[in-house]
Amino acid sequence: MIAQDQAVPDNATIPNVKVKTLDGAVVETATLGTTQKPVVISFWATWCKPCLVELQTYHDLYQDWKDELGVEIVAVSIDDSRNARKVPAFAKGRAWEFMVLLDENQDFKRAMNVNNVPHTFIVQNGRVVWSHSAFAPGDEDDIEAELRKLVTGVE
Amino acid sequence: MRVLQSAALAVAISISLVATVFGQGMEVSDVGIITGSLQTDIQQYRADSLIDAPDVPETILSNTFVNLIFTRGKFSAGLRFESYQNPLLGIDPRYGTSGEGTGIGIPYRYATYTEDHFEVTAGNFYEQFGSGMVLRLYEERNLGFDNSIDGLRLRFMPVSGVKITGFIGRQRSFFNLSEGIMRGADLNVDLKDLTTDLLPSDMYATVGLSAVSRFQADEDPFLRLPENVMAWSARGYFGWGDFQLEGEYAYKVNDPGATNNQSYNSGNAVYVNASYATSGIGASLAVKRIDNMDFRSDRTATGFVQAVNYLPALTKQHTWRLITLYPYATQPTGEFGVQGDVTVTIPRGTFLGDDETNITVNGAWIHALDTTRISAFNYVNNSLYAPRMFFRDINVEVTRKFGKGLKVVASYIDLLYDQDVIEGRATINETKYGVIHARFAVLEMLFRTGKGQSLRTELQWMGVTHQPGAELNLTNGDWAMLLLEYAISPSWFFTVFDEYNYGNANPELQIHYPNATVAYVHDALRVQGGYGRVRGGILCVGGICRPVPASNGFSLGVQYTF
Repeated sequence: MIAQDQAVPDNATIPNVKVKTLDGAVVETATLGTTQKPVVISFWATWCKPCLVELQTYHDLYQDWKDELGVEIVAVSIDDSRNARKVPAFAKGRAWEFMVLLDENQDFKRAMNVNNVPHTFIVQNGRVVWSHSAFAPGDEDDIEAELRKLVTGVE
Repeated sequence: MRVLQSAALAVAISISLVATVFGQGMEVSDVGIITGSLQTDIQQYRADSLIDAPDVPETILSNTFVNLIFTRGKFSAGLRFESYQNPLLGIDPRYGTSGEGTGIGIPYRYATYTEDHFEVTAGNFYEQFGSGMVLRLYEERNLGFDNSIDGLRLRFMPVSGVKITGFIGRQRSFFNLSEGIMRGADLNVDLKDLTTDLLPSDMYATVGLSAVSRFQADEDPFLRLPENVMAWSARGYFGWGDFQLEGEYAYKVNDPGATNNQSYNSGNAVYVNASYATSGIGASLAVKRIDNMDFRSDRTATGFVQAVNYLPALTKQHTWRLITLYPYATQPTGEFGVQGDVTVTIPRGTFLGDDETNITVNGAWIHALDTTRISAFNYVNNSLYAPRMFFRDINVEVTRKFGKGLKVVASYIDLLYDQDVIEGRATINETKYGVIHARFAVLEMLFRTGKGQSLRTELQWMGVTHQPGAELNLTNGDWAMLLLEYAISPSWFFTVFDEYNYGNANPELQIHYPNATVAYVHDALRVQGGYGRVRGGILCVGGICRPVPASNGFSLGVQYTF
């Protein structure tokens, strides 16, 4: 899904820490969103109800966003070892098709200065271009407008 | 370390003086970037004798955190300023009295240099070995918890797939450092990365070994205490297609201390988790046994401080407000637990209609260990576990959308909760508060009321049965709760809720706990103000739980990420 071999641009500012995919493979966070195609990075946890409202909304919209805008979504779980082992069943059981990563000791969360979940970033060319804390139903329209602007370069 | 602190601050200040603001963080080309965050929580307190909320002489208490991270290429440095004026109730008061006693300081600062095969960190660091059974260093500021180690950490990645980590230092203890010296090392081998042709393409395997040791001088006048206490663990992970299996075994040499009744037994823990997940269905089953595994950087520490390892509860973390009265907390001295979890999504267009329906079922059983004391300082295990149950939880949750306008969540929870053991109210052979049987039901509805507008309602009920003749705490009996939240995307949240303890055995305590909050969000800024009568109980955030006292008053919170 995410091109791991993608060269990280020189002026990229996404911190580089190691997180894991649901299969157990290691992903370096600096390789997320290194190109012109925007990537939505959403920090969440299994026990966080607004996070689930947000991710279920993305689940409904993901195919459209992907087809129309070429956008990827990366949902970064900050669940610790109490719940991290349950995340694969949790995410796949909900038929989520976007990428889910495990940030079990919250290294990526700290490096991105996230206070609380949910917290969502849009990343393009290795840089944060948009950031929002909390989620209210309807926020997806704002995010979509922002993505459209980034993809087409038109307000 | 003071030098490092001043250097980091100097860099931070000089850069911010000449910086220009880009999307996020502040940056000057070729100099580096500074990012950070701010969090402040302010609470006003009024005495409220009905809920046992004490009089607070300061009237207002506050906790503040500011993080700064400077990054330039392979180098990064960071610090956290903390201020407790004075610590919020429920946060350990030693944040206000330790160190210089002002409640202000920079107890966290570090510098890291990273190469492809090497990484060095001087100063404070967070770390986790394996699942955390011998080492987990982390921060949960909302609970007043930070067990970072101050010292040196090295990582070495000699070839792809192999990572070796080593550290030495002392653990943070409020605004001081802990008495024990901590050393540790971890080896992690990812067989998939090591050689590409060893495993089939859909197979993953990882193995690891960890060891962590504490030195603390023996100054006990009577007992001969081990001065060097080591814990080690071995772990493995195997993933094949949709199937995953993971396990860890940990051992700790004898470590008589304040939390294990000066037992000279060694400790051990084993944890196994199996799961199967494919699109639309996921299931997992976990088993865990813990025997005398409390591990701290100071053997005299008790309560919620100086923990070195992490033994999470093998139960579902409920966040519905009423049922958070009865959360399970791991018994590090000994327990046996099993948990199962199934999640199923019934797709659109089946017999259940045009929208997806999601169903989750979860069950957890936690038992005591079956032990017999054979001397003042030792005991033996007779079998895997004892019939005595500490906690049992069976719950089901159904989530269903009805078109674009309505989403419904319904859940039912049935749990047994041994209040004496879980809250440490009596010794294991005594019955004071006994076992509580709680039945909980909730109906949550989320209505889209217009473009960008939504109304969320929660109706909660909890029926509580206490053991006949048991003592009752303040918040006993049946509860009901109503919550209404009106949100205007992307900026406004208006929330009111009321918890009503209508079934309290004492008619005078059949009282309401009303709360109202307004939150404003703009990009990465969040400001929240509210008023509430908050019941005392156990607050669970981010995987751990702590008791919070009852309070009555106004609160203000500000959070910002830049």
